[in-house]
Amino acid sequence: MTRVATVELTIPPRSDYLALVRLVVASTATLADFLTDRRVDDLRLAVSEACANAVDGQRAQGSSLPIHIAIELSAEAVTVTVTDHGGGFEPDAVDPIPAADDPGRLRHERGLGIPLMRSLADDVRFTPTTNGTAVRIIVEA
Amino acid sequence: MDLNVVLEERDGWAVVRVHGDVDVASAPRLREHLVRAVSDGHHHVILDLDDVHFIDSTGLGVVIGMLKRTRSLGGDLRLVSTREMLARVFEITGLDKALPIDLSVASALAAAGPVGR
Repeated sequence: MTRVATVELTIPPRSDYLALVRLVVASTATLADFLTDRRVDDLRLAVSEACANAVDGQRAQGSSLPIHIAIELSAEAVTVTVTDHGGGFEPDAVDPIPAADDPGRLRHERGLGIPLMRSLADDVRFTPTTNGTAVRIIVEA
Repeated sequence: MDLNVVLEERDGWAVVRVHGDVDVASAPRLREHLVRAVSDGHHHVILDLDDVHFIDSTGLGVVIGMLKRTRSLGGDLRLVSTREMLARVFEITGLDKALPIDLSVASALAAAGPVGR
C-alpha cells in the first residue's frame, strides 16, 4: 500500500520566515526514510530558493497575502509545492549561468536560485495560477 | 537563526568567522560586515563558513561580490569550509573554479602566505 501524508504550512510573505520553512521541510522529508541526508539538504535548499522567489514576487506586487507550502510524502518521492500571489513570472527568461571557465561567470551575483533549484531537485515545474505561481519541486527515492 | 560574524587578524589576513544560516534574510548583514572590513583596509580576507549550516543563492552572491571587491583592490578572498553542501553548491554553480575551498583557516593561511600591510 502506498502511504501518502501531507504537511501544510502558511507563512507571511517575509524572508525571516524562510528558516521556519526549511526546518519544517527538512523535518518532514526526514520522515521519508528513503531520502539520504544529502537529498534532504538538496530539497531544503531548493524549497528555500522557491520561497525566496515567492517573497520577492509578492514584494514587487505589494501583496501581503500568505505563501502556502505543501509537503507531500509518498512511497516514491517527496513533493513540495510553493504557491504565491506574486503576479507570476517566466522562469525561462532567467539567464542561464555562464560556463565555469567563462570570464563572465563572476558577473552573476544574482539569478543563481532557479538554476540551483533545477540542479538539486529531480523535477521542478512552474505553473501559473490566477495571480501568481505554483512551483512544484520533486525529490525522488 | 541569528547570524554571528567575528573578525580577527592573522598574518595580515582578516579572518571572518560566520555562524548561522546565510540566506536572503541574513545575507545583507554579512555583506555589511564584509564591506566594512574592506573599507577598514582589509583587502586580504579569509571567510570561514565552517559554522554555516545553510547558504542560499543570495549568500553565494555575497561571496562572489566579496571576491570581486578584494581582487579589484589587489587583495584576495579565501574560503574555508568542511561542509559537503557548500562544496556541492559551489560545484553546481561553477564557483569552485574561481574560488577553491580550503578545509581550515590554517591550511588557507599556509597556502596563501602572510600579507604585509
